[in-house]
Amino acid sequence: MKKGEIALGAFCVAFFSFMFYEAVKLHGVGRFGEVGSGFWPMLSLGVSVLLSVCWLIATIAKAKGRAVEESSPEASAVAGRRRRKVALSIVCLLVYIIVMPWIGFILSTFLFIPAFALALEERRKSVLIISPLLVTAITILVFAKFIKIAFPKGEGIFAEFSRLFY
Amino acid sequence: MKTTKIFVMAFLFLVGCVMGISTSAAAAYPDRAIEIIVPFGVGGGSDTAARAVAEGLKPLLKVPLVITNMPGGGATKGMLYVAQQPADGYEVLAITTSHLIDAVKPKTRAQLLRDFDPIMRIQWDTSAVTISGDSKFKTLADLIEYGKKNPKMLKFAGTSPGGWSEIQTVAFFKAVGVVVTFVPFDSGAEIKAAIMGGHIHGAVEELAETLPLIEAGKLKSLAVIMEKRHPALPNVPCSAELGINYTHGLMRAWGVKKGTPPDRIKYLHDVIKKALDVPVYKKFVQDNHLYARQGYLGPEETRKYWDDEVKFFTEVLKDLGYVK
Amino acid sequence: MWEHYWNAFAIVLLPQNILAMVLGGLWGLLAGALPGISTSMGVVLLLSFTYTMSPITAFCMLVAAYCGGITGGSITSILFGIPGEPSAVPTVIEGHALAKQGHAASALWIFLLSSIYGGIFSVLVMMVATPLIANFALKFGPPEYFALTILGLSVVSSLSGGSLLKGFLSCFFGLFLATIGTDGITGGERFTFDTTLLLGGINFVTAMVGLLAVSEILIEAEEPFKEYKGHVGYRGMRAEMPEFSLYRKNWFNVMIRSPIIGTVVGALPGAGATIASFLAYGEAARTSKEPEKFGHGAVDGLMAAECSNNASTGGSMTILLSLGLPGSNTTAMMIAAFMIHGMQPGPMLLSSRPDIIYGIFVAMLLSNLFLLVLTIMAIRFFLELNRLPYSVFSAAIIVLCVVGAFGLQNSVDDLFVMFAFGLIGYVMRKFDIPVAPAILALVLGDMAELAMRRSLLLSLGDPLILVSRPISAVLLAAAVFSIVYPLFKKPKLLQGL
Repeated sequence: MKKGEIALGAFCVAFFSFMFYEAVKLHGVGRFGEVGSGFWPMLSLGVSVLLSVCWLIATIAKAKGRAVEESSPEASAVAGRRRRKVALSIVCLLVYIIVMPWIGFILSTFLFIPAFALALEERRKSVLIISPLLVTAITILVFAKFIKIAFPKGEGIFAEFSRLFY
Repeated sequence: MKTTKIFVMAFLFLVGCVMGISTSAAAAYPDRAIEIIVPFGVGGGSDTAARAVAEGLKPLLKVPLVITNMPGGGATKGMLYVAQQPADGYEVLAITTSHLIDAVKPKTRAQLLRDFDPIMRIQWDTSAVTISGDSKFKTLADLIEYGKKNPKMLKFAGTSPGGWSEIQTVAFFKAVGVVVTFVPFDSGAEIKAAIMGGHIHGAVEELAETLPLIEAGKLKSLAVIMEKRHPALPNVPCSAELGINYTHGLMRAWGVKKGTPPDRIKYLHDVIKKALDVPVYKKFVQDNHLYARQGYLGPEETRKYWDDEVKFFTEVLKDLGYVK
Repeated sequence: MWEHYWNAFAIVLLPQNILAMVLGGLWGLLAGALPGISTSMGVVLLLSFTYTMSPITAFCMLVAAYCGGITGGSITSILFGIPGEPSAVPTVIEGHALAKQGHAASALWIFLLSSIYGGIFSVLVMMVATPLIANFALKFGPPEYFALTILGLSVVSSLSGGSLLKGFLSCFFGLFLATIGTDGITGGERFTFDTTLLLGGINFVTAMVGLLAVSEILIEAEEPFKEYKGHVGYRGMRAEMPEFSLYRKNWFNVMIRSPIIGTVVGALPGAGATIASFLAYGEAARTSKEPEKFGHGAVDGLMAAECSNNASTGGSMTILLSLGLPGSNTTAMMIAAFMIHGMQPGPMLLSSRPDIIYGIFVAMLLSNLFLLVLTIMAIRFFLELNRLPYSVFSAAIIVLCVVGAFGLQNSVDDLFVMFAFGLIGYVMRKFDIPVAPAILALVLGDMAELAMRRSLLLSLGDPLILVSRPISAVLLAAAVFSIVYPLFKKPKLLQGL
């Protein structure tokens, strides 16, 4: 974990520094009398850079103080499996959001539910088959039909398909 | 693996269904719901205005009417959305003066004059110079005199920096030769509270929202910005009679994406025109004191009005330094 | 005055008005509890039904829907960890933590009793002290708003959990996020990198849904497969009735301090429920006997936040009825309702239509009582959802998050914002960086910046305006105290990086 924490600390320093550089460009933009557009971003980012540098230094100092813990192969196998599960579910969510404007809310939701359940290692067939139908139907009924949220309908034929339902 | 197969099959089946439907779509306009995109949040002035028109419009249409709020980015998000939809007359944008101001700015992402066709102008609101009821200024002349002696010391509130609110404040005071400090707030309610609490001198704001407070003496109006006196405030002078050459007001119009077939625009125009005579809408006009000036303008006149306003805003924004 | 109240009671208790309150309350609960539809949207949709009703019936329905919406939002917050409004963040943090420990029913009881009490308290204050509160609220100009937001932000040192360094890092990250988008003073763009995605800034609710709800699903995805969501409290409402002693222990927090904060702050247009619930929550954290519990299911924090959150409804209605100023989107819709029935809310209304004003007071009081019963019924229904298989439950929560993030502005862009914040929240949780300070700063940072720059515009650049006015001086002193005090009280917090 320490390695990860050092990497994240370094990333924070880099990110906040970059944003600080961007914020400096805003300096001087403003109305007569007030502190201008750049003041708050520079203040918050400046302190963020300082704090993340402190964090990074403290983490490195602590990591040096302790010996590196050897992890057993089994433990790392479990950790790898966990990571794969999380990565899969993140990918599912991302794909769901990306394709939604193209194929419409109803179809993407219908496909997302079983995909996400599979990513979470759901293997019960009955669950995988019934739940997408049920969840999609209820979502469409409540949110698109009843309270009329204007969900994306998709492009071309997908739009025609979505219009059948909402 | 078996489950994946099932999903592939289900997907193919759905696609098959869709294919079957798409061939049967070629009915007369409108054959499905018409959507009004309001590029502001629920409860705002543009939203309630659009809902009032829609209330009158719904019974006249054979198809459903849906109002969708797409706030964000100073009314550009909703405009951009409509600009990206097909020009088929099913997406109607509720347009306000802020879109005209946007058309002036060089960085604009969708340009009203270039990307949209007007259906009609619906409302033309009246603004007023409003100050606190116990203010030491009795007339507009007092205020102008103080402002001329103390440049920038008069502080006036508004809602949209670089938008309509700032332009009407600064442009009005420029017409009388006063330099004011414009202080942007988030909402009309905050502005009124700040005026009553004595934190700020006043605001140039749409009249209707302040009327109850004016009647109660908590606020007072020094001038309405119009060619004639406002019927709701017969004792308050109008800018024209004070010799001030400034009568601009907030405009609300509906438009569609450029390239929409003219017969569809005409259909929408005719049916909305009828909706403006429905009692529900008439009552809205009465309640919001929108009767002082004629709101309705046909498509051609609206286009001309837009062109003139954009020219005016170009000058003002150049003065303010927002446009080079 | 009393005879007005008797008349109002007599009218509001007519059967059709009671029916209107029950229906309005149910609709409000639903609108508040479902993501993707805000309380204000719920009131808008209801508005078109009230055209034909008599004014008092219409207001019974709308007022009940308003109170119901505020209450309903907390059900979703506690059970699923999805915040519906910025003011629900403390509820998500504490209430959902309790739910995860198996005390969902208990958390719901605490929220319900505290929020109904807060609502009733504020109505009672409103009945006797409307002009007083309205005048006090008008004293708040930009410098006072600035001091108030700083006081709100000062809670951060109590919310930081194990490490103050990480807490403050999270807080300043949030302050930075708040500056993204269109600058409220100049109208210029900041950190948008010429895209439309961030033009409108980061929507609070979208970011909160990502940081709190999506990230939690991702964290849980790591855990070994479970068939059912076993760890969410399955004990019924009856078994988890909170003991009376719990309230006796917290009497000052719940009975006095939190509702007063809620009522007063709720009356400020533009501040409202959010600052109210954060302030009360922060006060509870500072004075709590078990401060280490905050962030992990602190009962007193939940009580304070809920109490104050609901008390803000009374404050908000006070300023609406006495001055015609809407403090929130929902009360802005109430103005539309007044106009439909031929009235203009404002100072004159109290003398011209006392029947309506007192009727609204009484309707608010009674609808809070009805909501007590209605919410218990609604909660039973929502608890049933825990019977879903775990994987589907998680997927459904994600779909609800998507609906919630999309529905607020009908914008696909917001989904990407939600996704990004889901990832950020996941990483923050993995490295024990508290999420709450970032959200607090995101919500309050924007207000703080604008209030400060507005003050400077008013004083033409003289910074003394921020400290020279009595109310802001007191509030700022309190803020400094509340940042510094925990450093002395709990020096061990400085260690454990």
